[in-house]
Amino acid sequence: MSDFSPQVPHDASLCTASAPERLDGGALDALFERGGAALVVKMIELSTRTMQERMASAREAHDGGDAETLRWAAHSLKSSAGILGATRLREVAAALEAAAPHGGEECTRLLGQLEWGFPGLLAAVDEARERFGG
Amino acid sequence: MNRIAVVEDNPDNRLLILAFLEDQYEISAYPDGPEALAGMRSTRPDLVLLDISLPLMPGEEVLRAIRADAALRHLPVIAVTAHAMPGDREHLLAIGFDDYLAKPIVDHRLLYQIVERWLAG
Repeated sequence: MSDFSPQVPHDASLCTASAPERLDGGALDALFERGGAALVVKMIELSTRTMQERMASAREAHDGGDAETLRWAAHSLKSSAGILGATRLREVAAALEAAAPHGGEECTRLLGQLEWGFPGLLAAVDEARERFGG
Repeated sequence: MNRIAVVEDNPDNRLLILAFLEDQYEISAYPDGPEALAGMRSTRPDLVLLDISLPLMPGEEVLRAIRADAALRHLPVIAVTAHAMPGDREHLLAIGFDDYLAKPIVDHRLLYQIVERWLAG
């Protein structure tokens, strides 16, 4: 059941496709301080790959009515977004984690927000990668 | 060199903890509870950093298994969690975790301080 198209978020301030996610610079700065550009770039690649996998898991769980896997995937997305300093996406993932056990339209709406906002995150991390010289 | 077991399903979080600690400690990283319990019986760590939201076996269950194992029950076990809800810390300490660390771990010095405190104790 993969006929889902991402919904326009109800609260456009949370995620917009046109505006890159704003990254809290402190998170990646701390990594740079510890391991230089190589660690920052490695973390960006690993986190975005992990998030892509979890987004797919969340969609599959949502469409299959698997609340526990949806909750776990949202929790994992929240964690990875936190590593990158992607505050808005982290908030949406946290809301989805909380909503997942109850199911319903709120989960559909929040998952739509995540899917809608994810390209913006990828754009933001591309900018960050360039800033750190990766 | 002290040995630390890291039980964490997210590969980026594992990398983060490794990057922050691997020059000071010998790290064994595990993606889930069953693999960690099997591995720790042979690697004999000095401390465990345990994620709460794990696949296969929740962190609280892994903690119970550690406390029920004569070879592991003495280990300090630090909960590492992105839940960060009011009351989480108290709940986790009440069920037997020794300490609590909220994710995302941004400041490696805080992580190091907590680890050192428990290794020294």
